[in-house]
Amino acid sequence: MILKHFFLVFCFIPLFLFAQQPMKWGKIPKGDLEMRVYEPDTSAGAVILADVGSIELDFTTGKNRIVFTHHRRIKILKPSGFKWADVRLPYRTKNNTDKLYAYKAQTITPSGEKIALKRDNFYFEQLNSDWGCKKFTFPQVEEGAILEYTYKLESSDFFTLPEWFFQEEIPIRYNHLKLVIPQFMKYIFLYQGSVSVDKTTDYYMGNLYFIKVLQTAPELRLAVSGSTYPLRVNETIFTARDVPAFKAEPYMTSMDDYIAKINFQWQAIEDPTDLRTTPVMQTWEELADELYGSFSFGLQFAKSFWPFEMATKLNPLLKQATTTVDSVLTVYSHLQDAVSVDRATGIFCSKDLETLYAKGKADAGELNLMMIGALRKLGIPAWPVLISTRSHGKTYEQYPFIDQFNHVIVLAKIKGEFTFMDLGARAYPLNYLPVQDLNYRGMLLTRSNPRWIDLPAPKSESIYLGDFTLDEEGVLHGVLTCHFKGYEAFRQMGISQEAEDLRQLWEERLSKNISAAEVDSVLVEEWEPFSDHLSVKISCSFPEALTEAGDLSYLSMVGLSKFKENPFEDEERLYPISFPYPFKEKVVLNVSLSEGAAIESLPESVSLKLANKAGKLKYIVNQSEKGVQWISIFEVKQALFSKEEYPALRNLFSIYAEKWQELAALKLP
Amino acid sequence: MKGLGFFFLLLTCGFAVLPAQSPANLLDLVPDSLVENAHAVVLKETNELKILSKSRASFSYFLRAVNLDRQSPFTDFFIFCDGDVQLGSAKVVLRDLDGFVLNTYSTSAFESYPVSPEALYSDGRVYLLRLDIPCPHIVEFSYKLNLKRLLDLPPWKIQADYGVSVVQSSYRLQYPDDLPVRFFFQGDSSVVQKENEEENTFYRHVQNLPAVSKEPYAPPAAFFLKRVYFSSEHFTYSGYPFEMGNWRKFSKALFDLYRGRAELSEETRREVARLVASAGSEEEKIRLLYRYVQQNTRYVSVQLGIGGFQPFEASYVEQNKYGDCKALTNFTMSVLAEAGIKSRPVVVYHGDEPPPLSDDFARMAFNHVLLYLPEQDVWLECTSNVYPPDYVGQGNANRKGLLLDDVGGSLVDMPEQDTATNVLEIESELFLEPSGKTRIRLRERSRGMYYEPYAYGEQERAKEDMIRWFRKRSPLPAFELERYELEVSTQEPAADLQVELSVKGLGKKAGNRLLFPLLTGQPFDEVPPRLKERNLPVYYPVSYKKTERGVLHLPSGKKVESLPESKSFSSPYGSYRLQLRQEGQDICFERELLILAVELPPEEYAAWRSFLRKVAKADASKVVLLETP
Repeated sequence: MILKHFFLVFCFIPLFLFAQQPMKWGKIPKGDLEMRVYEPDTSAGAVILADVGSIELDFTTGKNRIVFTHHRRIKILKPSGFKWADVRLPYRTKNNTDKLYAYKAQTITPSGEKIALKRDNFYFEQLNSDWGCKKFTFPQVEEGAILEYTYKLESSDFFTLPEWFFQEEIPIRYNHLKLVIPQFMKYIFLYQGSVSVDKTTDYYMGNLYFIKVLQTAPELRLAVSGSTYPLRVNETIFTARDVPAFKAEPYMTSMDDYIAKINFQWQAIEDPTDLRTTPVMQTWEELADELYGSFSFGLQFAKSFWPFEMATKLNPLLKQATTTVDSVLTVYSHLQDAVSVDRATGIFCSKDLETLYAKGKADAGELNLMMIGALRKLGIPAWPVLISTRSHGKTYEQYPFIDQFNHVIVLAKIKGEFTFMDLGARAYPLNYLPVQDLNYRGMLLTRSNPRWIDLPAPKSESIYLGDFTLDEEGVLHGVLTCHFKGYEAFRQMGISQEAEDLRQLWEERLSKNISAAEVDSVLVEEWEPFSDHLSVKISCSFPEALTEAGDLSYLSMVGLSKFKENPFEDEERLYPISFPYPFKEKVVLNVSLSEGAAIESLPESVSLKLANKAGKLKYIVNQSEKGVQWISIFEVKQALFSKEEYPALRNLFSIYAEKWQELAALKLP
Repeated sequence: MKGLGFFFLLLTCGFAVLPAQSPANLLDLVPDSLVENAHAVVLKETNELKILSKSRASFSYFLRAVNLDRQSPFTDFFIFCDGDVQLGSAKVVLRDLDGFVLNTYSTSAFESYPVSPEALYSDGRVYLLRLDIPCPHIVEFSYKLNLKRLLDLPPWKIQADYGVSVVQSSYRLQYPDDLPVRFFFQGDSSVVQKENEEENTFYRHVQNLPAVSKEPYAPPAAFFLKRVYFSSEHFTYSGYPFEMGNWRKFSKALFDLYRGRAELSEETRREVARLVASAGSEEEKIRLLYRYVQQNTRYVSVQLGIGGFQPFEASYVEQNKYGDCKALTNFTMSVLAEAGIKSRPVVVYHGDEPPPLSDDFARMAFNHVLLYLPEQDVWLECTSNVYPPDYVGQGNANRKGLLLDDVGGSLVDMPEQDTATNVLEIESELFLEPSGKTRIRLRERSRGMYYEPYAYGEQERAKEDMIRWFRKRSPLPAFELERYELEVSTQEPAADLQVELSVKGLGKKAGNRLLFPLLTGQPFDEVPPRLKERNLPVYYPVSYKKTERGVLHLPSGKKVESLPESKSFSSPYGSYRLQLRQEGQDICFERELLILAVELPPEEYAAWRSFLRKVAKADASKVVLLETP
């Protein structure tokens, strides 16, 4: 009856509102053909004249599907734009998830001649076991040529519709996306970026099959109507004009977090027969329940993970463990040694965990699930935490959909302390996650109470303590002791492990960063597995430490820094600044002078703080009893800075860099 | 050795939980001399190559090695395949030092990827298995290949890399009577023993070869360490007969792949006639025709089967205005032939580390092709849209190539790039302002290898990318760029860059003094590390000349307290000259640096380093300015 009612209401309006087609294949306005420079950005090597797309949820045939159509037209302006003639269209080939078809491409030469690509000019390449790629390149590419191509991509994954970009690395003159969704399908629009996008909506009546929710738990079950009904179809059009090219800046997480784009997530179904809405996007609780009930996730570890082979190896070792932390680390090391990590991220298990363990090969996500299961077996509470790694992009905390994540890590409660782990990083101490994981927040997946939590980003430190004597010959010799903590310790560890010869490694590093160095010995202390400290003691001399000019000799601060040059060259910043973790660099340097030496001048001390204690620089140089003492502390205490904070942050880095350039002037006997 | 102790400390974290090593494990059997300097010890390696017919062969490989640390080359397992080289099966077995199997990985554990994803299409694929497991352990790696071409037979890499010692390695090659195979030793062949060699068989083995430690500026492993290369005297490939008994025959066979692919359309022929008609000299003809090709084509790589060695027809390039190195070379050859100019392809190994070629042993050792005009002695690099005629680029220069010809060509010397070719001339004018800011006017004239990034930039990069690159390579601290003007010549391998910029706080402050650098272009700072011991020859393949001439204008508030001394020195490795003089508030300076490509015995490393160090020190000279009230 309601359907009848629908029909009554809408039968007076035309059934199809034909929207004006924004771009017709091969129909090139004369002005575009003659264009030689794109006025809004004269440096552009190419410009996308139009990017026209549509995402249509097609319920007209009963074979319900999503059809994504993309038609792009590019104007080539300079040789630097030629690379836009090489096109790659990746899509999911595993289980035939996606189907790419109706593809065509043509070059329109500056004289207006059209050269179409033939079927065999399109190549297919299998990229890996999940993804394939259609590749082609345009013929007759030259300055002034126009390239256009179109294709359709079909899938039946209603949860995540294709992503649409309003911005590219070259300017876009006109961008147009049509989204056609039956009224009974409800989607959330997730927009990001700084491009202004117009949105208009309209609707028409279509003869459609519709779907009904039979059940949502434990899994979503749908039924398709037996025949078509006249139902409302919503058409939303997004347009953007004259979109500038996207430009990356230093210290960004991923270009994907900043570029203008839109995503669509399936939220609910409205039953046209009774207008009742049933959510299909679950609540976080439902999502957690579903994952816990899933064979490729929760069932693998929820009770425990303790295969026989692992038990025989671990039980004797666990007997020797005296503390809970020891036991945790024993399991941690065992899993890392027994299983080789073939990918740094993952959420779902490709096979059951026991098989993966026996094969000795898993991705880091699977390894983490093994760890959770093993900890649970030992009576240590542990849960999975879903995250999106830095290169995978940001998360949407209000929307419970799984695609925003690409990795799962471990949260355990060890002796009352909440502790994070990711076994993808070898022998990292507890609570240190690999840098790729440090994307600020994660979803703690407990069965009853899933919630967002902050990920730890412990401060990284580099401390250089120098005790040197400047002898009569002008040679600086002594000991440089480096204390590294946290991520810097792991980085230094990695560099040391790669080195053929530590003495030579440090000699090269000191020579490059300070001045020609001669290293006598290197002593590495304080490093044990799972330690977050590394200390290196270097006995060395710098024969060229002094710059001698006229009557005076000049000496600079001895120490290493990643910021002897300011990484922020641009005066202005468009996007926020993201450091993966806070950090500190400290130098304490004592230089004893030989008898009779006098200090002519010392660098000026300086002290500078950012608002909210977000960072500071303290640089002090003093005459000491035996000579000169430098103390420099440079600290960035927060990881994320807004673009408004940029000038102050840039200034701090700039002064720090300047201070590295300052010298003490000495008069030597 | 200090380093080694440290590594064992690190490694304990890994193998604490491996099954306890018995006191007599497999590593204990290895003589100490083979463990010294080694990242990996090859316990046993066998290579078995069987030539089955004129166009087919099978290859089986087996390796058992101890990975002593993570720098071993045997923790990532690669197998390169393509349409003619097919993987039969592959397997990796992981064992502890006692030999107990820890894990087995079969073919399906290898992930397959395209070898060159940047190509439009290539049938090359790599099968890869990466193991991230603690050392030491034993790996066994075996695979079988079915070869459908005998053009590039798998070599015997006796020592896979620096830091690899060998207990035992062998290569057995069997060939039918009528398909003889030649072989060539790289490096000292006395260690290779011949034993029970049957007829039509090559069977050699080596025993107890110590590892060679890697050292900086040493020759690349691929052509310094011991290898044996094989080539089949004759075979067929995709229906084409190949003779490879000597370079002349091989040259002819490769040239035959170009036959019948030269036909040009009427339109192109007219265009060629038109261009030639306007040309006054032969030289100008060549210039015009090369320019024509450069302006009408771009490089796109398609490698499929014999297409990896045979060019597309000239008409393919005409229709698409693109092609790979072979297609573009073939097209250019056709265009030149149309104008009555003879040219021939020259195949070459493009890259930083060209393998040495022996006159007596022909083999497939090339990955690129250029065009040579024998009558005019002119070279054309047809994949560049920018290079002038007769410029081939550092990546093709200073090596041998094989001239392809219908009667058979020979190895030829590619053009030299030396201190006359690779030249960077910098002129600068520095204005130190009373505010402490320095305005700098720089003009860089780049030739040869210094010009190449600009040539590449002309072809591929937007101006802002080039500016970003300039910022990155400049030794100056953060600066504001006020002018950036680049002119890349089409007449000669030269680029002319003019920039104006200003730097806040250039120089090192010391109280009321300022230590001010004079060389702001590209000062030399590549000092090789000091070594306690040098065992390998020195290999430094690049020669160049850099000059910088300029003047620093001082404000009235600054006076010169001290000026660096002028100096001049030279050595067999290059020479250096720096001259300075003060004229009132101006300091004029001039520096000339010559660095020569060298191949030196190990004993000379210290002297070579000392020269370079002296250069770096001189280039870092600073003038001391004093603030005057």
